Amino acid sequence: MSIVETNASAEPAGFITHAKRVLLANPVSLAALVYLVALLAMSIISIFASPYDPLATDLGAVYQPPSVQHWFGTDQVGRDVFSRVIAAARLDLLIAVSSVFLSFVVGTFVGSSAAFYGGVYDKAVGRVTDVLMTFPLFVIAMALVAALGNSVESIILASGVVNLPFFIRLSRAEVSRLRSLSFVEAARAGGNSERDILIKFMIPNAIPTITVQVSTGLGWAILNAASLSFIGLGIRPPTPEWGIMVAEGAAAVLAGNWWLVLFPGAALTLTVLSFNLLGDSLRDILDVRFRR
Amino acid sequence: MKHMMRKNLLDVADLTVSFSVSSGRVVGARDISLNIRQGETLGIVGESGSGKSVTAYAIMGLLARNGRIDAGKVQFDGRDILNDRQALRQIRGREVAFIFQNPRAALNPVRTVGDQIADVLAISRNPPKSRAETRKHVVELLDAVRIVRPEERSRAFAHELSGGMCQRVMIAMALAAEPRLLIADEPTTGLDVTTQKVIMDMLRDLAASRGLATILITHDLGLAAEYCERLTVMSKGTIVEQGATADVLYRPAAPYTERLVAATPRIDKKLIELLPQDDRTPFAASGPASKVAITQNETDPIPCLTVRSLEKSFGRGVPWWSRLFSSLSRQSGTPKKEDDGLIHAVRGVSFELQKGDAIGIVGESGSGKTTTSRMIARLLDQSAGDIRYFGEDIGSQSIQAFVSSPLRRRIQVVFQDPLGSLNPRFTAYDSIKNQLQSCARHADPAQLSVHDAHSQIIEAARLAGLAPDLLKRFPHQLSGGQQARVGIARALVVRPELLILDEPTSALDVSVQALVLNQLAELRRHLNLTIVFVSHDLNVVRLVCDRVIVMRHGEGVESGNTSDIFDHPKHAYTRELLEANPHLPASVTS
Amino acid sequence: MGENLLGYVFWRIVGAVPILLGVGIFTFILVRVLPGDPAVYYVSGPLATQEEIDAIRKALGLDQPLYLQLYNYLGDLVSGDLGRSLTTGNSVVSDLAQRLPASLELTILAMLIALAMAVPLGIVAAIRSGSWIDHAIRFLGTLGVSMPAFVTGVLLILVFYFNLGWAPDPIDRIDPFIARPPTVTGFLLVDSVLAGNWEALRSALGRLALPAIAMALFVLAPIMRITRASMMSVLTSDFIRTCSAAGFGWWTTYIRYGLRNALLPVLTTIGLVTSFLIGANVVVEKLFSWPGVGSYALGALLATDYAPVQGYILLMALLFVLINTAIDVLNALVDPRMRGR
Repeated sequence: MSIVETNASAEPAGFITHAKRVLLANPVSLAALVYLVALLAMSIISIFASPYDPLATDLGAVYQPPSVQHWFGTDQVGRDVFSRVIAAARLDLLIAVSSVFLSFVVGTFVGSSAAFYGGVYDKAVGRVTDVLMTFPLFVIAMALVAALGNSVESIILASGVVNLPFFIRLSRAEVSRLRSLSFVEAARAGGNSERDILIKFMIPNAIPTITVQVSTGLGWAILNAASLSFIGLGIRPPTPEWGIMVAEGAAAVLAGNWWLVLFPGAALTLTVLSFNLLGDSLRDILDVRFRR
Repeated sequence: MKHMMRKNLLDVADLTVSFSVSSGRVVGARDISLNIRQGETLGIVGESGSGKSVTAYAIMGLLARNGRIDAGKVQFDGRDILNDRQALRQIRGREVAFIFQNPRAALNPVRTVGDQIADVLAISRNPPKSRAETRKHVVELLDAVRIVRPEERSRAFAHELSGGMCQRVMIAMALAAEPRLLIADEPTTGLDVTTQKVIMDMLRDLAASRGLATILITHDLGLAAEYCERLTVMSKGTIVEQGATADVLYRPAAPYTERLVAATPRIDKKLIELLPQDDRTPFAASGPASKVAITQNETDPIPCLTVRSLEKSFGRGVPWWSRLFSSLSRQSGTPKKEDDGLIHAVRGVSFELQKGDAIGIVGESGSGKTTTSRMIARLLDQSAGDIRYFGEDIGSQSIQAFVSSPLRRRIQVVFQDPLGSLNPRFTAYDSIKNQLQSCARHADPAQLSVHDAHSQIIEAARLAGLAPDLLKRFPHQLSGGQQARVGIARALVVRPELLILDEPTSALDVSVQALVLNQLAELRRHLNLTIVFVSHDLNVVRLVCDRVIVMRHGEGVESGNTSDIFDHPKHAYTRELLEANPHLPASVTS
Repeated sequence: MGENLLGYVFWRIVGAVPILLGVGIFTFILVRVLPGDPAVYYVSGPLATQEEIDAIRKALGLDQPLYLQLYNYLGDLVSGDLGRSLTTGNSVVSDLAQRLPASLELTILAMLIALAMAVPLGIVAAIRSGSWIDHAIRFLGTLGVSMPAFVTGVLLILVFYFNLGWAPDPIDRIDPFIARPPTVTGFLLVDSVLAGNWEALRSALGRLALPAIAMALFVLAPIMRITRASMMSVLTSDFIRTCSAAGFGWWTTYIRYGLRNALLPVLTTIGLVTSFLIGANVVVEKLFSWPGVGSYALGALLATDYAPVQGYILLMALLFVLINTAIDVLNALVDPRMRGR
């Protein structure tokens, strides 16, 4: 309709230039990236050097509000909240990354193979994921953790299961969309085998879309793990974990000790928020069609 | 009924429209001045991006949100409708009605078409006073656009009607408020030619009988010539020429119009004549590549391609329970299901093709022409029938098996959608290279190898008319014509013998089409290619092919030499197609 | 069209049977995987002899082959027998029935709050797309979905109970010193109105407010995002352009033509959102000591009392099927394109 003749003669941008351009155009995504990198760095550094031992109690310094000594205050047994929040980041990020890795690998494989090979298998996968998508997955996660016992592994598995239907559905939808495009037929006419088509044509085109889900999925997994710990499943106290810290702090809030909840809650929220915000920019970075 | 003293209904003066895009502002139309008198038909013609639709939308204040009118005056019947929002609101629908491209999307999907027409009646100058009167009016209008069983159809939803039917509903809606001016924006693009003719004839008759002025916006010069008294030619956002239709066509003043008229295929023109006079130099194809061409053996007993009783049906038989619950709604246009529950896309197509010949497969949507070509290209397994390539039975090879056949490189395809047929993550170079590498894996090393792949790719690009510096671009960074050339280069790089062209130019503007078609013809001569050309456009087929097969509902209704088919069509459907096809009248001999 | 719709409803209900069957089998397997031997729980003391346990195993049918156990179990489910809770001593069905209204009241209110906020915000964001209002609304939406309901809940308690003192104690559904209205529906709000007990209504509403808001904020974002996206696609659609070209007024264009089309995807999202709410429900019920099915199931789970957990999962599955069927039918009613299948 309009004649948008965008600078067609300009040289197409390279990957790094393009990534920089996308991030600079989206300061919010840039901030999210900076926050996540900082959190990761701090949680790694804290293995070697932490202000306080996250598990060390000090009954002489309970319920201390934030101060120069204790940035985020101390809890009911005098542990340093800042050290615990940072230590918890390590655990929560570990859970998120492992569980998303699990659901990404399994989900992409199941989803794209279903869409690519079609037939009854595809129909069954589609129907089951449709049902699972709207099913209260948190309830299934609860049951799984109860069945598998309170351990980090079972939390990882349960969080992976929560994300799984989303990955299956997304990769299935993406691959079946790509399958119907005529470049697949062109590839076949060009002598590419079915395996080549899947590897060289389908998956590289599906990855940018799936990446958004990886980012959101990381957020979901953390949310899920924290919620499970909050209700007393999975990770047990005194292990520092954001959900447990909020659960322990909830009682203290009634007495006005707000820092016990605010800091772990804020760390949790900011982390999930950052993963959510980063998602869309990641797609823009990875998709060559956005390169100008 | 001609008016003796026709006054101007619409006056547009110096209209300039711009759009804000990420890189700043882009002008969509500049200094547009035009007018239309009562009862007159004006055609606004131009290629994509010429600003013809922008102009029409700007006049009626229908620009997209990033659009803005920077300057100009628009008056309807003497009233300023550019600055007076009140006046504009009163004029929309009631005085000036719009008909859009893609009619199904232009209708509300969750409201019956009858109710939508009733909504327009309700805001007309004399709204119906009762429900019964409304109903009567709606049925009358549907009847006027020649919809059979109007009462029943008024209760239908857009998705239950065919595209042509939806456009009739749109016309009924447009007429409901008894406007004085009708603006039709590409009203028949996407419809079959026979449907196009019916709709356009009806539109002309309705406009004439009601004394309506009409603005027809179209990319199709033939269509505009056939239905308009005056033409306005636009290019790159400006008007390059306007005047009476005959003047514009036969005595074009602007060089652009001349090129456009020349590029539009017509009955008495040769392929080379589509190009501007000074551009008719032979193409660069006569380079070193011509050495691969094999001299044609006149007495070759085995035809290049033999197709016998080819059939394809889709779907499975209908189980009893779904016959029980089968819905009554059925869209025409798509091939309909038979009693056995199968869709017979192709039924019994047979033909032979000698080496070096070009055959055109012509038909409307749903005729099975593309399905036939895909089976020949071994991209789709046939249900029954025989396909032989130089006597070798390729029809019995499954499509999976054919991928690794040495014949794969010899039978190549150029696809319909230039952008969609390219991998978005491959640069043009990678697309061509991938083809070369994949085909070379199974081909006879003497005929195709990856040795010196780079120069082979550059050569193929040169043959297709693609500059080497474009090769490092991704598909979305190329223009439509360039994308089409990548598709051609990709097929050529493996040195095919049989080239199947599936509507290779239907997505392109006529001037680009002229270039691409000439390039293809040139390549055919130099590389001695055998060609199967699939198209809905009879004019194009006539220019490119020696022989034609006309398809309808999966069957070949007529076949023969191109000149015989075009000059002496035997089948009624072929005649119908030929008549419906809009074409420029033969030029006056100079 | 009428028969078509009936057929559609019929097939939707038939299609739900495998889902319920699947959940039945899931819970069956779950109880067998959960740590411990079911028979042991039924034995009164830790000093039970092997003979006693074996006798119980026999009585429970646990000595039978697995497929027969599954058959019996599914038979029990169909006849509505979900077993007994060890902690309360009541039948699971009556326990659930007694607690369900509390959970439903909370969840429905949360859904209503979420819809009432998300739909208008989504529409505003769509109409003003690209403006700072749009960016702000979208950011708040993303923030909402990034904040787990328990964090929101605790912060709400901190602000409205501790700091401002507006909210009542975050415990239970109603002030213990106020006479409860007689139970008719189990929904305290409805029962209070029926009994004309305005004091109870106020107290119940006050206690509902914080947990309901905490849950609503969590599901605000998905509804808002869908509303915005579908409203935007409708606003730029061809048929809205037809409306403008035909000279329809604001009401016809945006409300009668636009909104109805825009709300179709929102309707579909409600199924997804309900499942989020059910998950958030468990967490919020724990935080606010809400006597609903979520906290009941959680308590049972932590006390290794598995019959209520089974019953809870089955109940959620049943609710899930009911809601999604209702949404599909509603969708088919509103959208003629859904009916043809």
